[in-house]
Amino acid sequence: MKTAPERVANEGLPSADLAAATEEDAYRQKRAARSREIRIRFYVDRTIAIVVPLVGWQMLSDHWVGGKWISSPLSVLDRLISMARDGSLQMHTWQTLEEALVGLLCGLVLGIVIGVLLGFSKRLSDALDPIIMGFYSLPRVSLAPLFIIWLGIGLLAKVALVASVVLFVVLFNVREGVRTIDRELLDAFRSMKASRSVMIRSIVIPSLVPWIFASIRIGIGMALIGAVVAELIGSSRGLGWYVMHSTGVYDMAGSIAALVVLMILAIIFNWVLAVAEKRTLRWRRSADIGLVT
Amino acid sequence: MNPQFSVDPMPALLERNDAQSERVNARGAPAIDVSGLSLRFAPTGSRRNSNLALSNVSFQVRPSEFVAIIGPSGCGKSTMLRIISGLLAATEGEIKLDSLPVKRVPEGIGFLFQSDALLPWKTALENVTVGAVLAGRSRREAESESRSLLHELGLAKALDKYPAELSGGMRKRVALARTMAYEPRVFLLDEPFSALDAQTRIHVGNHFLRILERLGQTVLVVTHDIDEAIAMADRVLVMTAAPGRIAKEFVIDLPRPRDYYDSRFEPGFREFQERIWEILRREMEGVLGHEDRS
Repeated sequence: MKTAPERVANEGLPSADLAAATEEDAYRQKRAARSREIRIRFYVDRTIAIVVPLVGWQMLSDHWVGGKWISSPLSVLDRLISMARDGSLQMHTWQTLEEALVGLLCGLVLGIVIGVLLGFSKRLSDALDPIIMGFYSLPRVSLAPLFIIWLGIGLLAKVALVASVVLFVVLFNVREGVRTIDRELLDAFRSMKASRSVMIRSIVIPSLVPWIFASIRIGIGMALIGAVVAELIGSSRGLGWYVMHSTGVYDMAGSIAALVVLMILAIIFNWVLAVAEKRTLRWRRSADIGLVT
Repeated sequence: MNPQFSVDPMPALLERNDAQSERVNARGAPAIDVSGLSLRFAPTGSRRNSNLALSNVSFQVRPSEFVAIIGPSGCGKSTMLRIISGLLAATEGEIKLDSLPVKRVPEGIGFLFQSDALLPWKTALENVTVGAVLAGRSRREAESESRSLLHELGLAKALDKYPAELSGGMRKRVALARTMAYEPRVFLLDEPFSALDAQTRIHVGNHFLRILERLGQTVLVVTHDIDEAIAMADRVLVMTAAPGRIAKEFVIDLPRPRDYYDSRFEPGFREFQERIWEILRREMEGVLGHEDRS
């Protein structure tokens, strides 16, 4: 049962709430308008950034340099379409993609395993340091001919080269990741008598995820380089082979078309990775989200 | 939930006279028994001599007693907590928890670290649940238990937030909730509030004090804050500069329940404050003087 003054007080509340709510609404609308504005501006900027160089290229090719040397956006597009029609685009792209992805995966697995071992064992790391640094400073590309002699001109040699390029980035990242695992977290779990497997699952692996993502991000570019270089040296298909084959017959449209596909592949890889990273590392970004007001 | 002691009299006690053994039994076996503890660090870097961090430290903490250890920075007080919890091995001396010698990490240690040591990729609730699961509860039990602990600590709105989204004081309370969920026999707190600003420290300190007083568990807290030590503890042990020893012991007989802030207005508080500061100042002067000379 409410007494009279209480009821008055309670009736007073909604109006205050209402004022706060409208204020909040106004603020929200303002913010939405502002973010829409920023988004539109962003799309315009992006479009300009892409269209202007393309138009410049086309004009350069039409009026000053000549398509013989630099081809042109339109003839490259033309080539891409005709390649897609006869299926050669898909075949070459798939070949390079397969080499890069399988190689990346092998390098990743090997790098993570070795990196974790070296991170946890200072003794092992100290002992192997000169060997690792030696192989790391060696331009791995120079190993390509050896891989081809050992493993043939098929997929295996390319995968080996890609893996050898990617391996070290992953290894160094993961080793550093292991070394920077929060000691107090481990101690906290140890003080609660957590088993080794629980600590690996709850602390070690999640601590390494950001480092692994970082190494994949660098590794993607390296994997494509490795695959293309391996193809330049010995192969009968793939985008790298296509670039070399086309330049060999002064077919600039063909070589640039292959390069464009490589570029698009790299962009797609990075985009997929960015999305995966955003989802997995939600806890990291959440602090930032909290701050955006 | 105090540990019960129906322990047989230890052989050493049997040799003593009856009156003495009776008194020891009446008090019960100490919850924490540190005797002759020394720690020597191996020489590192440019230092050529080994470094004595703790020198023959002995003290006891009775069951349900709240003891604070205070000392100048670098006196090895945090290191000592690590030894007591079995995370670090001593060079010499023995630690007993409930009469059992500590080798490796014993059961029922509730260690609260200086940093919050929360998993950054888990929410507050998930972090606390870890404690309950490690205490042997089923997942479901652990979660409902953790939920109510967080409610109790005023963190109902923070259940699904990640540590990075919480303030320092909230993270501290989540860390306490996790330690409570582990249901330890002994709480070891390593400078629990040193990272908090003054107002938050009072707020969180009161929360801790209320809960620890209610649980009535054995608590050993390490701090560099004199007021905090006096306000919280039944007994304050003052350590010397490194190598750390126990310089003096103060029994704080202020009435309970205490208040983290208001207790400083109790009669007698100031006197403790002055006497502890007297010792600490002397120790700090020694350290600073030494640094000036070298």
